[in-house]
Amino acid sequence: MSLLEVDDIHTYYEHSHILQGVSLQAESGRVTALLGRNGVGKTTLIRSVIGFTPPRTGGIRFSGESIERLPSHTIARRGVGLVPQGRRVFPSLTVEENLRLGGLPGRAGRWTLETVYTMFPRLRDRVANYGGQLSGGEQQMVAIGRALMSNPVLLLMDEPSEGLAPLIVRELERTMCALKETGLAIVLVEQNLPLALAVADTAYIISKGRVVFHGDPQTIRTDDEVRTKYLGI
Amino acid sequence: MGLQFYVQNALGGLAYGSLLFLIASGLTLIFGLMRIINLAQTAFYLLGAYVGLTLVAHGTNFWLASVAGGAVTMVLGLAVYSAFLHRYHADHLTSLLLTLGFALILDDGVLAVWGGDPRSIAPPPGLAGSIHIGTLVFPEYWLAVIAISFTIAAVLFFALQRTMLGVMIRASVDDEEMARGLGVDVNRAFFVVFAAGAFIAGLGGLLGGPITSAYPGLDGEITPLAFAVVIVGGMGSLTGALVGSLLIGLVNAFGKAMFPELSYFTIFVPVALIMAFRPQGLFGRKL
Ligand SMILES: Nc1ncnc2c1ncn2[C@@H]1O[C@H](COP(=O)(O)OP(=O)(O)OP(=O)(O)O)[C@@H](O)[C@H]1O
Ligand SMILES: [Mg+2]
Repeated sequence: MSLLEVDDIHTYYEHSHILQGVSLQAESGRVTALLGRNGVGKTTLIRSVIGFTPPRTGGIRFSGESIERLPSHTIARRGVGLVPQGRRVFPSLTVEENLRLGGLPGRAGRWTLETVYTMFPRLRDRVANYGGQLSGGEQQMVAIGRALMSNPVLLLMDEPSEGLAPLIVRELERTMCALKETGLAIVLVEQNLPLALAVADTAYIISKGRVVFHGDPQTIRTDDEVRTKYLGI
Repeated sequence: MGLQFYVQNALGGLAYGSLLFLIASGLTLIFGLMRIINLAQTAFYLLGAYVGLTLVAHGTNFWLASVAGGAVTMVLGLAVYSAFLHRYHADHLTSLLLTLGFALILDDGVLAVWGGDPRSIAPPPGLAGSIHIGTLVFPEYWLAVIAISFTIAAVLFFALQRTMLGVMIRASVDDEEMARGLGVDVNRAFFVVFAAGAFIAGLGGLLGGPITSAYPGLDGEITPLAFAVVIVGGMGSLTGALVGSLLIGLVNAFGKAMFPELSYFTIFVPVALIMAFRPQGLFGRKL
């Protein structure tokens, strides 16, 4: 049994049928990459898992329990951390308040303000700055730190490298590898293919709301046909 | 127009503005958090005034009666919130009509229970006099109302800026969905803010009584001013509510004194200017 099991879900925005029967698994200590062109439904899948846009049919099991009908805050408290697309750092909260809010579920574990600052020393100099006053890279650190503060067992990361300078992306890669080492399960949506393939243990490609490829990331690296057909590169 | 004219109107304006803050603070937070435009907020004020004056008439201490007025209003407000309103957060039109309907019911209820005659309310004993400095006269009760409102403002600021509940509320105002995704039970924050807003408005009823007195229709007179405060200050901003209240209070007082025939018009000059040049309000976030 996998930590996260998404089973044939169909998710809609009003009348648009976005996810048309998606299934996927994610395991502890592994990075599961979710790839695909713009607008194919990657974010919608993340939103389905965290409960923002619950699937209309199909099931989502987390640690063996069905979560597809639970409210988002309950799903988060059970150990699902979210680093959303666009980071969504709260502008009216300071860096420290953003992090403390992330710690609200009160789950014990290795992540505390102190360990987050150790991982992202730059945030220590910014504790009293408001979310809106940070650079893109700093906001990403806050978004990751904020998700870690709840000591999740599953971390959903939606395009964490978006808008970051190459040097920061390298840092991000190291961070993800370090997190994987701690036994965390990571579901990673990425447009940055080299980054995704560097950290992923397994990969899914989504096209038009369906999974069209599932397998070893190496295959995507070597198989030109898969790349051109589903990723457009 | 001597110095006393300015002092009198400045103090009167600040006192009236302080009362507006007790109404507008809830209005702006409830809107900022739940997107509910609560047209019943001034009816809460009026209900608090009537409950309070009835208790005072039966010998209850003035301050205790104010708190009781707030408590009764809060319970009633929460009942309506839990039974109807909480389902229509994002639905502006429905929630607007609901609160309007509730305000009308409250108005009629007040009229049925307390009758249509205006009730004047005496300041509590010990604060009925005035302080004289040279030739200037300062009514003690006005000073007391200003002090109380600023104390309540300070408590609200502390709760919002320094407590975890405040962090949750600010986060939910910024991005409700993301707050949920981090484990915040946003509905609980809604409940608390609605309760606090109703309580403070109801508490203000008796406190403001010696200044506004109480009569059916008073709420309808205050509503445009309270909304002017929220527009000038910026929706969702407590700082905006405080600054806006004092500003509107002062403009109202001086407008009435200097251009009595234009009194309503003077209020809406700042509103129109803000809408034209800074639609998000002085302290609101960009729209
Ligand atoms: N709130 C919404 N209401 C209606 N349609 C939406 C909404 N959000 C997204 N969509 C549509 O759903 C489809 C899938 O969007 P989604 O955000 O899941 O794609 P994505 O794979 O994450 O794309 P990207 O790589 O650009 O982030 C798109 O066609 C998009 O236009
Ligand atoms: Mg996306």
